[in-house]
Amino acid sequence: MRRVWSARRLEFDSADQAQDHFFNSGWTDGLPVVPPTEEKVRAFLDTVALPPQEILGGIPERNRVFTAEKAAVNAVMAGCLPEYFPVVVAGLRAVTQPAFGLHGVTATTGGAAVLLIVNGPLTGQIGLNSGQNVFGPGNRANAAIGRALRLILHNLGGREFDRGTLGHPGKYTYCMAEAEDSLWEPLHLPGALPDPDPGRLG
Amino acid sequence: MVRAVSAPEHILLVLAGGVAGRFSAFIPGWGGRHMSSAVTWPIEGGGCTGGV
Repeated sequence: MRRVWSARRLEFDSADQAQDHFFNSGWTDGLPVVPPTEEKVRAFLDTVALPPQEILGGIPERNRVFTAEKAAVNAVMAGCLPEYFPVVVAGLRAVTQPAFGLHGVTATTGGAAVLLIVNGPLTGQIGLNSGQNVFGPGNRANAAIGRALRLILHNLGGREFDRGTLGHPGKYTYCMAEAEDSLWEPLHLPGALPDPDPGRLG
Repeated sequence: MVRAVSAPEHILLVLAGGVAGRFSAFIPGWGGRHMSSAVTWPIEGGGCTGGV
């Protein structure tokens, strides 16, 4: 597949110079990022078989759209592995559904953070944690997937709209897997996927 | 008395975390269901299955 990229290509003399540029440009959450090389971005897009210009969602109130290419760039920056990217894409599609109200959620002075809850066999395949310290640090998939979503919203959704008064630590990353080996029905039940009824939850 | 939610089915229960103790967390939504509701979406690609 021949890909046409829209992102600018930047060149740096060193990794430190790249980090400083990303920090100074406001493209990070305050933590170092993984430089998004074309090779890495290409590997991420290969996992979802999407062209770079595929629109995954957007925030109509701000006239912002999220392309697969730019989502992959931010997922690389967040520290994701390529196999995490399908989850990032699904999360992005979910939060850009009208029922989620992404514009308000990401602009509110209440400082809401977006929680991603993932379930299914995939969680075991990519090592997404549902157990001890589920909201804590130490797990790459949890940390990177949640961070990818936040960087996408930050860099592509318009960081200038974020008016959080106190903010929330979940705005760094907020992703967990559901523990499904229990008597509780998994969160994605009842009902078919995707859920067209904005009044239905889960 | 003011209801925290309009109906019991609007409370999502999720099991996760370590086995020690019996801890729970309450994570509210934002702005009420008319402003923001939880959305479920399937994961596609990468040979994986699951939901978000």
